[in-house]
Amino acid sequence: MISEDTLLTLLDLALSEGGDFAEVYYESSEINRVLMQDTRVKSCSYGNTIGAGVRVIKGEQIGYGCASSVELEPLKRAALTAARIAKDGKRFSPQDLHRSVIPTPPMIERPSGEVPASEKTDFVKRVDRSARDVDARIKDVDISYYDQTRHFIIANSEGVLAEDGVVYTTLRVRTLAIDGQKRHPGLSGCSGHRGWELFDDSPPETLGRESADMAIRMLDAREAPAGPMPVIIGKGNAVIIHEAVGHGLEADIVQKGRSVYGDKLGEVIASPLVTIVDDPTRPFKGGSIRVDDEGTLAQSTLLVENGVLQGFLYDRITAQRAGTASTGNGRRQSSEFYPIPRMTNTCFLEGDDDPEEILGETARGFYVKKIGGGQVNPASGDFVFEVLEGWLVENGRLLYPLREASLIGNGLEILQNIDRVGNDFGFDRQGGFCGKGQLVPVGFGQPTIRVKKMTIGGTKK
Amino acid sequence: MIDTSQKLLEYGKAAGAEEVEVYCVKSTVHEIRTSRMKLEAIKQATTSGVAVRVICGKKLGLAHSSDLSDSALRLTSARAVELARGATADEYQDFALQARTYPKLSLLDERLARTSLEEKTETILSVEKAAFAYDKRIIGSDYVSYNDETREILIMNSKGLRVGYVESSVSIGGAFVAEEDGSKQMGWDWQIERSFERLNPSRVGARAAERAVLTLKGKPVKSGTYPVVLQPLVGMKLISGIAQAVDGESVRLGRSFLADRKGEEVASSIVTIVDDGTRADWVGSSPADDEGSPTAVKEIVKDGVLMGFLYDLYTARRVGVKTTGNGRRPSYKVGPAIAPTNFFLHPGRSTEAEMIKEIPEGLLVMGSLGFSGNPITGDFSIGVSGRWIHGGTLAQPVCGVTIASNMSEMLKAVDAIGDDLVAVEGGIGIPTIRLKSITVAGL
Repeated sequence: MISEDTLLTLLDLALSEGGDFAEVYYESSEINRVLMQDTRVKSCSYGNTIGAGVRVIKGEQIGYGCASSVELEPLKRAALTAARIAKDGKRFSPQDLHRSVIPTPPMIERPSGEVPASEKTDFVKRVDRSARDVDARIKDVDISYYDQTRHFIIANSEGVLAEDGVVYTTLRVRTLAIDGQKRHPGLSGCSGHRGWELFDDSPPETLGRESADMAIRMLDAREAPAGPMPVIIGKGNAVIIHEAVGHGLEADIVQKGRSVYGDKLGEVIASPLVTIVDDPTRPFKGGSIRVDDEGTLAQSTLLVENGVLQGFLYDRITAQRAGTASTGNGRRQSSEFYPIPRMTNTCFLEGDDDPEEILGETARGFYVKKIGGGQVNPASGDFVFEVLEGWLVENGRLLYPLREASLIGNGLEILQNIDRVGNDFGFDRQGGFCGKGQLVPVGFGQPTIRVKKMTIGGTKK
Repeated sequence: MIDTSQKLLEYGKAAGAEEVEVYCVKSTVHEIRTSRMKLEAIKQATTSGVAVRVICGKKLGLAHSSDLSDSALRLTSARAVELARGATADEYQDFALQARTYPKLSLLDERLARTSLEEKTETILSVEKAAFAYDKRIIGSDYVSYNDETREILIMNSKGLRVGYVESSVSIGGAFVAEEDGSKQMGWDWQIERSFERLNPSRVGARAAERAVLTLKGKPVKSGTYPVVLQPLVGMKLISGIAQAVDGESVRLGRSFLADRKGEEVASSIVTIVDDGTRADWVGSSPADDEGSPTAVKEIVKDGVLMGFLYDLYTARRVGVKTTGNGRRPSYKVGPAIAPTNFFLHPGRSTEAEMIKEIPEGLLVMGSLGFSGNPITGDFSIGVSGRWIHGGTLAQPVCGVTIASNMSEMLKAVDAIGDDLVAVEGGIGIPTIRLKSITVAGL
């Protein structure tokens, strides 16, 4: 661990060229991984990384130095590297450190890092068996388990000292169904800032079965249509909101003048049925944090309320530039990166509609059962997401599954076109990582919603 | 690094491993970002790490550490041995023997270490300058960045293997925003090279700006089947999909649309795809892969016929072939698995203009958004933007549409290949290509 004296020494060095602000982020992390492929536990692995990053801000400029070490000398060099961003500035000293009190209690019952490897391998073997038991056509099962225990300390020249430990646990099951010439993958998984108790809600039998069921169902998939139609997005698939609106509300994107939402604060940007919050305080999800990676306490941030744009997501720098307070969204992948504004758990709040009725009243459309990744061009607002399991809807019923397709739309248009919002809010069990030059785990919560029209990127005219 | 590695070999054996492999890496990264012709951020990261793999009773255990203190090295070795117990005994697990020869490659730009931060900053400012000079509708940037990395790698194992090398990579990239009448559009371009000298900042800036301006105020077109011309930035996603489908382990497990198709005609006869780990000027090259096996040149598709797949030591032993030197680690924190080195589609002789000229109605694809590609079924679907082609010339801008097909059909639909092969991401490269017909989904 790093002492308060060392932190102060590094902060002092970091300010030696006249920076306005300095920060030290120290992190130690341990990971465990189990891979099961082809009925064999192929490998078990353990890893330990340590490191610190020093950030200096001078005006609008950032200097960052980092080293994968706990030795004082490399850390001092990192501090001096960062310091160099400032030239001939007025020299001042860091303030005394005051430890932040993190009000929320820790959320981990059984730290995954302390669970014996044999228990983990037994668990993945059970997942493997339950997937294969579903159907003889399941020809391959590939399981990856991963946990990370991360401990970090943040100290800055304004006297902030924050420290926290988090545990992230995830498991993913990829199955393969083969029937004659037809072959299709299935996918299931779970993740969250949670210990081994994550699997209380996701027992191995469920994880294996879900993935295998999907692969078997999708053997019958037919060509997806090409062109616009109504789209129902099932519960938990909030990747659509993450891409359609979330990224465009990150303050760095807004301040660079490249968000379609940048000049629309207080304006109606969506149907009145739409309320969106970024909420790290909902426990156990990918984006559930108690303090961000700059030492700001995490909080729920209202982004869109009944269709009206209410706010943006800030880290320290962007908040300062906008003359407001950080919303606690300064996140980073590791000590090798400086923090930038990021989402945590993107939550589309629930409405009044019965999800059965939403489907029942749709004459013809596309139903998104399982969503994959997505990407947005925030300048134009165009975004896509991939559908891993989609169904054709006809006369209010799911008719047959459709082969993989991307769905494309424009954020502003899609938000206006949301015409049904279900009362079945829920999180996606699988969660995921969001990439913006660096990866951070995020969560997705959403009820069933319907969009009047989106373009389905299939092949059938 | 040799001392550290030798210690780890020794500690691993002492902890009870039959065989030990050590992978050591030391890296220095520089990153510079600018915005509106001003310096935005400078970063320098110095990291190192070790990874140990052990085989005990045919079982594999892995551990890694960034802490190189003696106590951490002992713990890392002990952990790897302890964890091996949980794995399934697997007679195909093995480490590489020292090869008689390795390709001799010069992978380091020696000048890079002497290049000042100021000079690097100038380069990146030239990207911005070129973009703003390209068109007055360019109003800003999303990011403009310069990155370089110098890495030192050492791989040793208890079977007497020892391979080491030093390499550098340098890249620049930018995403610029164009605006007209309240609509905005973004255009990207980037370049990745072994050496600083080869960077062409004004070209990168101009190309990114061109893509933003040419697709500004784009609208969806009517859905249909059309010929399309794909620029390398977009084609790259498809060639990456093919690279996944020729992974020998995926093929063995039936997780590839190309499984069981070796020797068959899988692409149009003008298509040749190669994985070349020895092409020194591209960043996917190295004398040895991350298991210590020598890299090589492999024809994957030759004149449309599927010739072979990529292998690491494990899968090669399992299916009874030789490793192709494709056992690679994305980082020391992850064990080796099959991955391409420099994987590219051979250039042809056409220019983009020639390809466009022959199209009565079609689409020039300049930018992409997302990628839904399934190497098992071969189905893919991708958001695109570009310009409509009418009567052999560029017409209105197009946005908000997708192109979708099956990789099998796509490979057969290639009817012209450009002369402009570039490495787009890592060692993945493709020239501009034309597809005879593909489904475009829009209105």
